[in-house]
Amino acid sequence: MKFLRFFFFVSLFLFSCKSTVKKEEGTKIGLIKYASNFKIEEAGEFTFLMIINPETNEIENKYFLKKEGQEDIQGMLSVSVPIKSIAALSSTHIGMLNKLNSLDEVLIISDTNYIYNKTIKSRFRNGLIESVGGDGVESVEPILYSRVNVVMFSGFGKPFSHQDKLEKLGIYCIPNYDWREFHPLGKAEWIKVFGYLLGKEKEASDYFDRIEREYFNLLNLAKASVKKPTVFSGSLLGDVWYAPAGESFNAKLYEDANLDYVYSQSKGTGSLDKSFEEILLDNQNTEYWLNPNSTSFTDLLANQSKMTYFKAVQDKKVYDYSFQMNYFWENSAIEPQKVLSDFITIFHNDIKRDDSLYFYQQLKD
Amino acid sequence: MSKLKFYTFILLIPVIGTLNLTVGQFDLDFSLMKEALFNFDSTDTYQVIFRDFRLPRLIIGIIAGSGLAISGLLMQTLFNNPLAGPYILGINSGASLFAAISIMTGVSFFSSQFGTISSALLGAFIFGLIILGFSLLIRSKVSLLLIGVMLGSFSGALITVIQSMSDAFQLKKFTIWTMGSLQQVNFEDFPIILLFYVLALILLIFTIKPLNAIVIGEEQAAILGVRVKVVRIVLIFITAILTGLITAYCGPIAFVGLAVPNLVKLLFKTQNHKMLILGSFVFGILFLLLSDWLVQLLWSDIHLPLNAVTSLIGAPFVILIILKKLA
Repeated sequence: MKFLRFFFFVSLFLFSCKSTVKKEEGTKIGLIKYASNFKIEEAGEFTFLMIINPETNEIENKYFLKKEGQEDIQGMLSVSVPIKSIAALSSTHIGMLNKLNSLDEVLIISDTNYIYNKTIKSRFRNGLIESVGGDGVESVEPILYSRVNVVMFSGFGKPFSHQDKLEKLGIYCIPNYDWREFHPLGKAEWIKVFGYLLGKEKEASDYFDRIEREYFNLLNLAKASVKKPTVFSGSLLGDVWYAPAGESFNAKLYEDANLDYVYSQSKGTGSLDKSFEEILLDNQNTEYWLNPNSTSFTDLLANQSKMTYFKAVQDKKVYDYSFQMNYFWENSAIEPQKVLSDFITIFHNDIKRDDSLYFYQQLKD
Repeated sequence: MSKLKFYTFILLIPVIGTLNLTVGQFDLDFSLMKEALFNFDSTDTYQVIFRDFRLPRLIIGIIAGSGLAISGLLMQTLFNNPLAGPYILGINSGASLFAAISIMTGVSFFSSQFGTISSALLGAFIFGLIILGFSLLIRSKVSLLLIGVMLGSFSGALITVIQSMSDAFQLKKFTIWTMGSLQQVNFEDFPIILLFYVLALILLIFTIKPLNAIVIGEEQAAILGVRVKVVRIVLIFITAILTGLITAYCGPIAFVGLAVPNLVKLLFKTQNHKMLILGSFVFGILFLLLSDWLVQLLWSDIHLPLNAVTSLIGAPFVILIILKKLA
């Protein structure tokens, strides 16, 4: 009987191995509300994790999350769960693992320069965690040496370095596309991937439900504000000004915070690249400026004195998260409600609430 | 080249200059330009864009084009080598090194209070002093050339070390700086830029006769009464000022200083430096303004770095001229 059930589910998997994502009869897709780049498929006792390539919207990898007592499915990547160790190669992964109290499972990180978490830093100093380096100088040797169960890396549509060899050794490399999610809660929902891998799916789901509630409470609070301040965003890099496009993750946050984002009607999910002339033409009188990639007006104006023409600069209504860059990258993805909370504090002072800021700060003089 | 043709090229400068002023995200009319110059209103976005964006871009284009071409010519004559250019002494490497420190190391003095341009200016000044110091000590110009190349290699290595330790954003910022741009200059920068530029041009006038003598060889020039060592120091000083200033404000701009003097020599067929300097001045301006006009014109379709355009249009053009002269 057990064999028949196993055979049934293997057949089910083989039929479901088409490139496009669709729900097969007899299977239950785990409730993923906002994330579009992964799916959890539960078929009886069997759980599958599917990573979807955001460029093609096709399944890039499908993993059988093998629980104790289950057998491998031939021809399929079977990851034994709960995993005991992980290489977490992005700051957002550290933030999510922290929320699941699973930092002890982290044995490998990328570059320590990008880490904020004190526990991870301390474990690195004590030799309990190794670094593979970052920005193109990655080495797989620490991964081989530590024999972690899973390498979680930021996906770019390409396999991880030496992925084939690592998988032969039972080290599974899972691409993470949280950074390509367009909904703030979609990014946070990737905590469920970690939850399933670590056998903490309930904790992950509970955490997510809580921040979802908080997020929508804050969204409704923002909508109740009588003000809808105008805002522009981004910074100048060389001669090009990069601003979030109208359908991007940031634009969604601005919309949810009840802000009048200047480029909210523009197409695209990435960045708009505009000339400085164009930005000045559109924003000389815009009230607020977000994310100038500076922490002080001195710094901002030393690099480009023309910024003084913006009303937002004259009125000192410029805010950035780069005061604690690592803290922001580590935690903002898993705490989008706090980003929203910052925006309400900054832009809607007619709403009476505490005025603590989590990530953003006004630029110093 | 006939005088008539040369004058025609001179007249092309205001034509291309006007084209440069008008190309952008919106059209500018002359009444607005007049208002912006004589009755500036900082709340009028169009006036701001003309006065603080397009006009500085045009003026620095004229300064950078002429300055780099003239510096290239001086170095080619000094080292008697057509492959020499304004960057051969390594002064731009000093600017690049300090720009790299400002952009990528997070040393707060350079990154915040000082800014990239001032850091690059300081770097060019320090390296200019070093090379001037060596030129006082060393007789052989080949040794001086080698020292310039070594300075370039040394600072290049330091930049590589800084790059290897910097994050992706800083790396991108620095890479973009090395691509060259005429858009980083502000109106208030011009007093200092013009001061040094005019000083260099005044000094240049006194070097014309000695340069004509040096062309036939330093020993012969000495026999003719030229104080070769003094001339060498003055030439290096002029080049240091011009390239340092231009690299600091525009980043390292490729090709102009190497190609334009050679092009002028081919067209003018003379060793008279009065003509060669005038020719380099005019063609340097035309070449850079034309390149920048193309950058602006194509902006909505493709963001081309200035350095890429100067080489993309310059290299085939120079090859064409060479082939035409050989035929």
